[in-house]
Formats: sequence, C-alpha cells, structure tokens
Amino acid sequence: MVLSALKNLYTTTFSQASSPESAILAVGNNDGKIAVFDLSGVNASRETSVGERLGGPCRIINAHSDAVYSMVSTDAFCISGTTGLVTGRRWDELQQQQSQAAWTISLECDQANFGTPEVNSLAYDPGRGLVYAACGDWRTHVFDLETGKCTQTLEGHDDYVHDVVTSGNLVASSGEDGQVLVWDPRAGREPRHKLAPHTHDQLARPHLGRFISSLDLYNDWLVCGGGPRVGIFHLRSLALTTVLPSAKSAIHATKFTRHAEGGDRGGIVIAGVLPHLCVCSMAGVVTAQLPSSSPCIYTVNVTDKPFTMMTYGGTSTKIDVCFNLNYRDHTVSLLED
Amino acid sequence: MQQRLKQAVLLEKPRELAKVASSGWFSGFKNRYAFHNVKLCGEAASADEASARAFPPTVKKLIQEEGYTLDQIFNLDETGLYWKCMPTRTYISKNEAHAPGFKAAKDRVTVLLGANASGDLKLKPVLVYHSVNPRALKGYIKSTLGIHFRSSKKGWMTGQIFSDLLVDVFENVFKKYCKKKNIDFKILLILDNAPSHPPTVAELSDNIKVLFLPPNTTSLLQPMDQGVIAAFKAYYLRRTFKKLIEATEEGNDKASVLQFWKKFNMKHAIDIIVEAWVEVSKDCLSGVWRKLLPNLIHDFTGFDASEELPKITENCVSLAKQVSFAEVESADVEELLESHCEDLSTEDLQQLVDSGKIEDAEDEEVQDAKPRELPTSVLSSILREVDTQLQRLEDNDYNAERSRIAVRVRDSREKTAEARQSVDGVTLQLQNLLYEVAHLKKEVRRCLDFQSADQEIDLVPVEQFYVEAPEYISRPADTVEDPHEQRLARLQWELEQRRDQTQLFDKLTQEKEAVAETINEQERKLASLAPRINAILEATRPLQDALDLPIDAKREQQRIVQLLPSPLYTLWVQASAYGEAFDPFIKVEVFGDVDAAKKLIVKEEDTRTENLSESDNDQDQQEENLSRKKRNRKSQKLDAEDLDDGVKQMLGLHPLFVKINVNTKEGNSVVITFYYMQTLRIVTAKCSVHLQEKTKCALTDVISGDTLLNCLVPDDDGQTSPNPANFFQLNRLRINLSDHLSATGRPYKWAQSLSGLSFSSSKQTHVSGEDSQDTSTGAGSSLGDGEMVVWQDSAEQMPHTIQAIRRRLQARLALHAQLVNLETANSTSSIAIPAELLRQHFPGKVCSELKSWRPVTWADYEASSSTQLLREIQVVTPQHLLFMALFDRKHVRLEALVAVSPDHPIKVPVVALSLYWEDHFQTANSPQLRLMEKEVNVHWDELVSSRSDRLHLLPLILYRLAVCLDVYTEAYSAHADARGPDAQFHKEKIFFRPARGPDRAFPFKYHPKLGVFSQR
Repeated sequence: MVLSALKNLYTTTFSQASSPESAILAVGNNDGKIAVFDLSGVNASRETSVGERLGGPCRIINAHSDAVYSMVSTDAFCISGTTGLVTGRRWDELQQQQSQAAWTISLECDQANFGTPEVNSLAYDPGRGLVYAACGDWRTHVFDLETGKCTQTLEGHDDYVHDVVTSGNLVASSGEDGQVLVWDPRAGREPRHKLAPHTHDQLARPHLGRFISSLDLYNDWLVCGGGPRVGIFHLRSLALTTVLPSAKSAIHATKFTRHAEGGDRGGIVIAGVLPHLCVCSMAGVVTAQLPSSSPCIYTVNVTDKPFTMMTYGGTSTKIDVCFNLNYRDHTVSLLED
Repeated sequence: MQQRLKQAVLLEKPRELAKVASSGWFSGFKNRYAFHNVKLCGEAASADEASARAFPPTVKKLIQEEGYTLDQIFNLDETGLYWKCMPTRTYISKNEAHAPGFKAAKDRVTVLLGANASGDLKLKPVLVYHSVNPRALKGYIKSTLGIHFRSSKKGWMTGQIFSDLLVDVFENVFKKYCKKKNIDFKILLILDNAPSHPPTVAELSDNIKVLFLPPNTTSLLQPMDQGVIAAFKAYYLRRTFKKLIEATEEGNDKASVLQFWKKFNMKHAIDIIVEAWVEVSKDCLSGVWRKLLPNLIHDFTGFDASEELPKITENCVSLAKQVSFAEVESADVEELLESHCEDLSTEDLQQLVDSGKIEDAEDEEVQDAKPRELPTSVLSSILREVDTQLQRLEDNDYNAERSRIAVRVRDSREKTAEARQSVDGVTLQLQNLLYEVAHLKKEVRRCLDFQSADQEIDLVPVEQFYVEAPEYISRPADTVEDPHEQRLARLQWELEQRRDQTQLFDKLTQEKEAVAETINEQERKLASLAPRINAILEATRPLQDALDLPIDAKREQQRIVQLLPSPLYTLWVQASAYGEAFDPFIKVEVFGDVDAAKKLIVKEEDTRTENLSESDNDQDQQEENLSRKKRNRKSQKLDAEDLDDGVKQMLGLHPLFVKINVNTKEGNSVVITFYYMQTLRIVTAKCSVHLQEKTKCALTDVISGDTLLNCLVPDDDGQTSPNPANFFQLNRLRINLSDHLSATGRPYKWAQSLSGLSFSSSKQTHVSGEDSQDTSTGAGSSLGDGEMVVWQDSAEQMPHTIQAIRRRLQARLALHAQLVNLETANSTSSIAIPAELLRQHFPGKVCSELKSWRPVTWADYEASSSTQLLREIQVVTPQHLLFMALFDRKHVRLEALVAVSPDHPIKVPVVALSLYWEDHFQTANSPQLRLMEKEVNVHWDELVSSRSDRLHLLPLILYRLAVCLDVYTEAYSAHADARGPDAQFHKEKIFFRPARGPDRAFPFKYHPKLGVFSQR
C-alpha cells in the first residue's frame, strides 16, 4: 500500500488524445498506462448547459511496458508512441473492454549506442494519411497508415527530436539540439527552414539549455519554446516577431488555440515546469493564467469540436479540465477508484 | 255518589249571546241545534273511618315523643283548579268548550297548598301546569309570580316534582322559618299517600319527618281538605267575579264580559290564586287541624268551613248577578267548587296533551314513569279490606242472594284451608320417610365400603407362606381349608418376620457407627501428616537450591498465577507453554504484590455478593450519590486532588504482572513486562533491552525499550487504547493516555491479542490471509462488555509475536550499528556497507560526499516543504525515526530527509530531497530531482536481493543517493551551455544520453554489469 502510494506520487502524465467529435479522451502516463475517459456525458451536458463534470476514467489500459510518451488521434485510431513502438488502437474498441492494439509499428534499433529510441511526439497528416514520429534516434520517421511502412525519414537534428507538428504541407520538428526544422516533405529530404531560437538573445536561457521541447504551426506562424523562451516566428520572413513572457523555468508545451473558445485573440497556450498554464495573445500579452494541479505540465490537449475543452496534466495523478481558455473548470483524478 | 246534570252551552254567534234569557229558549235552542247534555260523574273518595279514628292518637304520641310544636307540623295537599271556569248557568262558554268537558281540560291546573298547624307559615302555592312555558307567562320571570311554577304532562303533581320541591324549595323555607322563629329545624310533614307523594320523600331530608296519612282517610283527616282548599277555591271564584265586574263596569254588556273572558289567561289566574291564598285566614289554617290534632288546637277561635263557605258562595252569587249572570245560583257555585276535585276523562287527557303540544312544541318533558309496586303489606291490607268489606256486605246487605254468595265464598275458602292443612300433614310425613330412606342407604354404603386394617399389609404369597413358615405357625391342617384361619396365620408369620428384620437393622446401624468412628480417626491422622510433609519440603529447599531444581519455585509460581487477572493468566499460560514447547530462550515469570492481589480477589467476591443483596446496597448508593452531589455543588470543576484520585484509579494496574524474557542467541535479551489495567481492561507492556556488550554510543533511542516494540503489527504505536470503551472513560477525566505511558506501559494491540483480549476495532479490518483473526472460532470466557478472552487467538499469535520481537530486536541492533556508523561518517566511502553489496550495486567511484547525518525532530521534518506530499499521503508519520543526510559535490548540496520506519527494515526508509545549486530545487520545480527521489523511494528493491540484505538498506540508500547526485550534476552539465567552467562537472559516469524523453529524464539507473547509467 505504501509502495503503491509512493508509485502514484511519482506518476507523470505525458500525452493525451481525444477521438473525433470528442467522444473519448485518452491519457497516457509514464507507467505505460492509458486512462480512458468517456466524454459523452460531458458533451451532452455542454449542449444543455448543465455543466456536468468529467468523472474518473472509465477504464485504464496497460498499453505499453514503458511510458506512453506521445499520442495522436486519427479518425479511426488512437495512436500512442512509446519506447521503440508506435501502436494504433481503435477508438470504438478503447471504450469497450478491449485493450489489444489494432496495429503496431516497431522502430528499428539500428544504433546500438542509443538503445531503443523512444517516440517523443506524434503528428498526423489527415490529407495524406501520414503519421510523423519524433524519435530518440535524432530522426523523424514518417509512416503511411495504409501500409504501416516507413515511407520517409526526416533527418537533420543533432540530438533527439522532442516534438513534431504538421500543418498544411509543412512539417516542423524541434530537438534537444535546440534546432527547429521546417520541412516540406514533398520537396525533398532537406529541411526548408532551420531555426535556432537559442541563438536569439531575446530567447536564450543558457542555464536551462538550448533544447526546444515544444512547437506549433499555424498558417505562416510558428511558436516554439523549451530551454529558451517562447517565441513566435514568421515563416515567410523567418523573423522572430514576438517573445512571449514566461517564467524562468523550462517550457514543455506551446500551442496555437485560435479556434478554441476564448482563443480568438490568437490564444497561445504555454506550459512547462510551472504550477500554472499561461494563455497569451499573438502580441505577447498574457490573457489568462490557469492553475494546475501538476507542478510541471507536459501535455495540453485542446479540442474545439463540438465544443472547446482543454485538458492538461503532468507530474501528478490528476488532469485539469477547462471548457474555455479563461479558467479551470475542475480537476479529475487519473486513478481508478 | 253524586250525580249532576251539566249543560254544555255552545253558541254559534256571539251576538245571540245577548238574547240568552231563559232556560226555555235555551232548551229550544238546544233542540234546534241537536245539542245534547253530557253527564259527568265525580266520585268521592271512599273513606276509611276506622283508620281515621285510630290515626290521631298515633300522631299525638309521635308529636309528644319528638317534641314538635305546632309551628313545626306542616301539611301539604294538591287540588285541581279549573282556573277558567264559571258556574254552570253563566252563558260564558266558548266555541271550544264543548263536550266532553264543559270545563276545558286544559284550563285545569294543580295547586299545591301547604301551611303549618299554627297557621303561622303559609307556604307559597305551587302551580303545576301541563305546559312548561304557557304563552301567557311569556316574558315573566317565574320566580316573581308569587307562586312556584312547575309543569307536567297532565298538569298534575308527580312524585318527581314533589320530591324536587321538597328538596329545592320547602326545605329551605322550613329552615329559614325555623331560624326566624328560633326553634329547632325539625319538621313533621303530614301527607296523604297520593301517588304524587312517593314514600321516598321520607328520606330526602334528615330534618323533615314525613308522616303519611292512612289510606282513604284524606277526606276525614287531611287538614287542607278540611276547609282550606274549599275556602281557597271560593275565594278564587269570588275574586274572578270581582275582576270580571271591574272589567265590565262601564258597559255591563255581555260582549265586554265575553271579551274579558276571552282575554282571561294564566297570568290573571295566577294573580287571583296568589290573592286568594292570601285571603285564606290564619284561623282557618289552624282550625282545619282540629280533626287530626284534636287535643292540640286549643286556641280554636271558631273557624268553621261550614259557616264560612256558604257565605262566600252567596257572595259569589251576588257578584255573578252583577255581571248579568242572573241564573247563577248558590248550588251552581258549590257544584263548580266541587268539580275542581274531579279526575279527568281519557278524552280530556288526550285533548290536554294535544293542546300542550300546540302551546309549546319545544317542551319535551319526560315524566318519570314510576314502576308499579304492590308490597305485601299493602296486599294483605287489601285482602283484609276485602274481608271486612265482605263482612260488611254480609252484615248490611239487604240482598240475601248477594250475601249468600259472600258466605259461600268464605265457606269454600275455609274448606280449602282445611284440605290444605291435611295435604301439608301428608307432605311432611312423606318428607320424613324419604329422609329416613336416604340415611339408611348411606349406612349401607358405609358398611359395604368398610375395610379392615390388615388388608393394607402386604403378605407373602400363600405358596411361599406354606413353604417358609414353620409348622406351628402355618398349621396347614387348620388353615388350608379355612381362609380366615389362614389369614391369621399369615399375619402372624408376617409379624414374626418383621420382628427379625428390625433386630437386624439395629445391629447394622451399630456397625455403621463403629466404621464412621474409625474413618474419623484416620482422617485426623491424615490431617496431622500435612504439616510434617511441609516441614520435609522446607527441609529440602536448601538441597533444591543447591541442585538448581526449580520444583519449589514452580509450585510457588503456580500458586501466584491463580491470582492473575484472566488476560494475564492467558498470557502466562500461552507464553510458558510456547516456551516449553519450542523456545528454551523464553522465560516467563510472575511478579508483584501477592497479598494485594489476594485482597483484590476477596474484594471482588465481596462486591459480587453485595450485588446479590442489593437492598443493603441501595442505601449506601443513595448516600454516595448525595455526597457526590454535595461535592459537585462545592466546586463545579473537579478538584485537582479528586482528579488525581480519578486518574490514579483509572490508570490503576493490577498488582501482579507477567515478565517475559526473550533471549537471542547472541545473548541479548528483551524483557517485556505485561501489566493489566483493571479499570480500562487492557494489557500494557513495558519493555527493556539488555545487551551483552555495552554500546559505546548514546544512540539508545533506536533500541530503547520505550519504542522498540512500536508498530510490531502495522499502525500499532501503543499510544492509544485499543479498547474503544476507554475513549469515553478517559475523556471524562480528561486523561490523555499517551502522557502516562511511562508509568503504565504501552497498550499495544499485539499485547491484547497475546492476552486473548479482542476488541471490535473502530476500523473494519479486511481479513487478509496472513493475520486473519477468526474470533468466532475461539472458545472464550466473557470478561466484560465487548471483551473476550480467546485462548486460541493467543496461542496463534504467540509464535508470530515472539518471532517478531526477536526480528525487531535484531533489526534494531543492526540499525543501531548503522546509525552509530553514520553518525561518525564524514564521507560516502565511510558508509559501512559490505564490500560485496558495494561492488554489486555501485560504480567504483563516487564523487558526492556524505557530509553529515543527524537525527531531526518531526517539527523539523514537517517544516520542510519537500516532505509535504509524503506527509499528505501518510507514508511518513510521526512514528518514524527521522534523520537528515547532507551530500555535497563541490558547491552543490543535496539535503535528504530520511524517515526510518519503526518497522524497519520491513518498511523501507523514505527519502525527501531538496537540492541547492545556485537555486533551491525541490521535486515540484525540478522533474529531474523528482526522478531521483523516485529512484530511491520506489526502486530500492533493486538494491536488495535477500532478506539479510535488507538490514543494510539504509546505508545502501544513502550510497545510492550519493551516486545519483553524481549523475544529476554530470547530466545537467552536459546540456546546460553557459555555466562557468568551475560550475561544470566533468562527466565521469558512463551514460549515452544525458536526457531522454519529453521530460528530459536523467540516467539515474545503473547497470552494474555494463557499468553504465541509463534512463529508466
């Protein structure tokens, strides 16, 4: 009992994904477990404005033997990434009592020195049916979901890749080496743009390191942060347009949330080793500061269909739930009763 | 007998009334209108003159005996009064006054008149009317009318009304009168025995004696009948005429007369009654008593009704003439006066009732129906009457035929009487004979039932008798034939045998006594043996001591043990049994004040007997309560002294206690002393440790007896009583048990279960396989509410507990050694870890140094924010032994707050970290530090592979921390850019990736085989 209490004390939530139309929320933690929440009750109550709270997880799946570092959602699958594996589970099966994966892609372990690479981030391009996996082997692997084959490998980072996002034709990744690489995968294997935020004096924070742990794309805009401060770059001019105010600690999540309720002023969500989550405008003004039950936030999930719901979690057994970008609505435990 | 013809006059038109002038016309009128005359009969009461003659002397005698004066003798009598009635020949008659009554029945009222013999008190007349509220009296207060108004259905006096009157009205009147006259309040009331005077009136008042006139003597004796009533009525009539005249003075015409008569109503009548009654003179009232009290009415002044009445009658006639009732004659007046006494015919009554109903429908008078009664005395008097009358008939009858019938009747009756006499005689004879028969039958039955005495004696059967009995008794020659002789012989034989047996019995009794004597003798001898044996035992004691034979001591122990309270007894039995069976290193002894224990037992028995005889106790208790109340009154809060006493009593220990010595092979021992708290009904344990070699250091905290046995089972800190009932007992006296632990010892739960005490826990325990306590299977004796001494439990627990105590001692000794070591350590390398373990789990070189190791208090521990989460989830409690370890690597300092469980090493030490490196880092603001803490708190199991390794867990953990600090500093340096060169740490540990995953985890995990570090 003491042991399990202690284990729970050191639980970390790394990733989240929500099914299309926000029927299910899946939350992955460092123990390889995915907690599944049924959002239908909350959905219905939002429509009737009853304001029902999210209950505990409806089930917890032992998904992986290692931490569920990353998750991404497609129309049919909840894809999770862990050490050496990318796994797809059907959304409709998640809710039922099946925890077996629909498919699994193993990463090659060609470099013995690195051990098995972990999948730090996943991105999905619905237009072409591709999944991008930012991995611990310094590369971003691209998988075709039709075939399950690796169609492309994006190489260019000099350390492991922290995050990958895709928007339109562009793919952007950031790494421990402090680089942000923007590709157009159609155009070839070389990155179209290279950014190094730590080289900008306005952003650099050498004592925290140069790593860029999180980035996001929206049209011509790119936001990124990590050891350096959070900055917004304009992709056409590659200029740093805004430096977002942030605390002195490292950043682990940055997100454009323009479509979310309360995000109409350009809402950029910033979170990291802070006990709260900041919402800023494109101009760099903090519009809201939401408290967090985790001292350190690793994952923020924002949905805008059918309604805005933001969930964020990190170094605790709880996630916080918001229905707009202005205040925290409630907190839900990830533990089964 | 009196018969009169009365004429009912009916006139169709009032106008024609004036024309009425002669009877001749009248008869013609009658004929024309087919009028008819109606005969009505009145009957005078038949008077019993004989009784009337006999009565006055009786009255006189009574009056003389009781001493009544004339003032005190009263007579009351009712009379009917047709209040609206004129003499026959007046033309006043109404349309409704037709046959059968010229006097309309509803015009009749009953008037009760009364006065005393002296004529001094004229009672207010009582008027009984057939309706409760006559229309004419509407609006008048009845008490102001000058009369008492009563009503009954018929307009007659009833027994009920009369009784009520007597009680409600007359008694008071009499009383007042007597008071006024200053005479005794005793009244003799003379009444006739009319149905309206029920015999019960005699009992209504003590002061009123009622004397009933003999039947049928009313007309002869009743004073009121002797002229008063007649005078009253005459006055009434005269006054009526006077009124009539007054009313018609001017016109003197018949119309106005009729008009007056029409208006004449009850009210007028009452006025006239009152006036008429006033008019009756005192002389008249007194004079009428002449007949009843001939000797007492001396002052007779010559009132004579016979003189007075005609005068009034004449007066009336003359008055009548004035009102143009020319035809009225004195005879008519007399007739009218007479007619007042007549009874009503059925039709009259019917009419009366109807009109009563009409007059006031709301009137619902219930006339109490008096049950008919015919007492024997009355009956016999009637028969006598018949006899006398028959006699009179015979004497006086001119009709021989008729008198002969009477004679025949009497003759036949005499004959009947004779015949009956003879029948009676015969019946009597028959009765005698029947009785005799019954008597004889009874005698016969008694004879048949008779049994002689010898029949109840059981005799030997005949055959046996002949076999056994000697010849001279059985005499077969005589007895075989003759049953009587045979029986005699058998009886004799029986007697003979019984005599023999009695002698035998006596002899045996004597023998028995002799044997008893010898037994006594031997017992005495045996008793004298005991002291001698004791003496021998005493003598052997030196030998026992010399040979180290504990025979005697054991015996002594056995004796003391009997005095133990039952939980301690259980403990003793189980512990010594366990020791004998398995464990020679356990020694169980009982110590304490034996005398006190004996006294205690005696006292307990006393209280038990006291409880039985509770009657004695009640008084004591009351006194006690009183004194307690007094005490309470004296001071609201308990005196300090009082409280102390209470505390002492509450925490009182049984004078005997059990000591268990648990020795280890190394020669160390734990001595646990078990006490029993009598009031709280729990077992407490004190513990002391005896070590073979004296420890140098003063770190006795870890192995001090006080805390050694804490948490032997989970959550058993011995701070609070396991008996839920104690909470209330202690609360009342505001005792905090934990303040007294040094005196009482600690009430550990395991101590209770060893003693077989089981309490229902406040928490519901989920029965787990290992330590399930199925109390229901244990056969136990009840000790008190909610407590059970369960032997089986105790037996089950004993081996576990002893082992646990041993293990605990061993662990504590090990811990103690480690702590002593750590206390003195000033570098990581000086942490004492077996070399093998060191090689197995850690890389060769460690740069971080353990700087210091010191114990801290709970307050210190609590003050650190790094421990907050651990405290919140209650992984660390105040029971833990708390230490602070400091590690340094150059300018980086790691503070580790280590919490060592009392159950160490079964429960692992828990570490809380904070790091100082330019900034202050805690797990909250440094995910990497959090991972480091996790490394030691969660993944400690990688450090120990066997149970014995566990004993070294604390140093291993500390060593691990030092290694982790190395990794932390090196990994941090690997990716942080712009530190000063002196702030950088050269990478000495082998790891491939300083950071990994989204959380940028550091490679804390060590792979001993590869000698490399990696992330988990």
